Amino acid sequence: MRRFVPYMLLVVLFSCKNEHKEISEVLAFKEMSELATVEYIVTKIVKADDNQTWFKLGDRKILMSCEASIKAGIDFSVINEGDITIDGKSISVVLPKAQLISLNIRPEDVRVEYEETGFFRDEFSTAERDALLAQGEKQIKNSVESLGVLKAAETNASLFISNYLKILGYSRIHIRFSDASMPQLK
Amino acid sequence: MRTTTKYITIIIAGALFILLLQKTKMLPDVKDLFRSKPVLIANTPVLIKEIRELTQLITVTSFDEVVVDSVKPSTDMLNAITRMAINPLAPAKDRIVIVARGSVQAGTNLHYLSEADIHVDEDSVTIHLPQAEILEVIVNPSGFSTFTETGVWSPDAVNLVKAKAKRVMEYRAVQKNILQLAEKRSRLLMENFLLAAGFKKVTFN
Repeated sequence: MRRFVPYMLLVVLFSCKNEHKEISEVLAFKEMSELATVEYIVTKIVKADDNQTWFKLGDRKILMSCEASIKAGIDFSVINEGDITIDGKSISVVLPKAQLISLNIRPEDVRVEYEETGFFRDEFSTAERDALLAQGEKQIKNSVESLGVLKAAETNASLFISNYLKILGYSRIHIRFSDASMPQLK
Repeated sequence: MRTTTKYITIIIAGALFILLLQKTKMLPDVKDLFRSKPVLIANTPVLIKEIRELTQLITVTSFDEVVVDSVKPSTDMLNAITRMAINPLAPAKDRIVIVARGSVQAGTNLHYLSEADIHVDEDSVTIHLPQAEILEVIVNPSGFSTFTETGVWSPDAVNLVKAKAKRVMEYRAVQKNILQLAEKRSRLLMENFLLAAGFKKVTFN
């Protein structure tokens, strides 16, 4: 009987099923220090044709319109004593270059304007629509420089800091931007 | 015998030739012939609709991934009839499960900071900072992935599920005290800036 005890224990051990499901915690905090000074609301048409595959019969095309919010500003934490020169009521500040802070395409701002699917084809699924919109998202991100978002962010940052310093009692304020480029949003 | 040898040589030479073409990518792979081509979007312009001036100090961002789902009675007639025939007590249901990966930004909206909130007394400054708030919940199309989708789901119905994901994300961040952390950091950043701007004492009220 004693010989069977280890085997029985093994059987019991391996027959136990863990019913408790572990929910992984992926919530993570990151400290930021960005002063967002401009928001661009942009629109884009996302159109795609799925007729490049020779063995798929019939047309399948979609046309979506989306609105995105692009925020840009400066990193507030990198302004330190070395970037500020005070001489009585005069102050000179060197601000970091503007950078892209966020790009946000809200689901409610996406509309399917037109969709055409042939008899032998399936309609676009949610996953397919999201994949197409993700391509659009990339194109919007790549156009930030040409839209002048960063330039506008620097102008607004300069204006805000000037007004703020004026309230603090400075009468002559000189603001310029550092030459070092800031890392961009990936 | 010589004819057979000749044919075998031609076949081997042909096979080697095809193999060589495939290796040098001059001949497409047979597998590629039956592979679907990726659907690419056209390069359309990005148009500016509006430009807004902001003064938001973003001090904490939480990154999160949530799973949301939704179930509704099936609108697919064939599915409904089939399920009804199998089990009339359990009618067919459409289901969608979406995984959303995004971020919640919190901080202080300095737009509400007015001249009346700042009092300067020589090298001391007293400032009344606006309360920290959730500034934005971001889940872009690249952050959504559909785990399962059965039945017919209109884009509007899917958007409701996605909106639910954003609400869950915001709720989780607030539960983990994102606002308290954001407020603390906003004060720290402001204090550092004011000290660098020549003030010796900074007080928040």
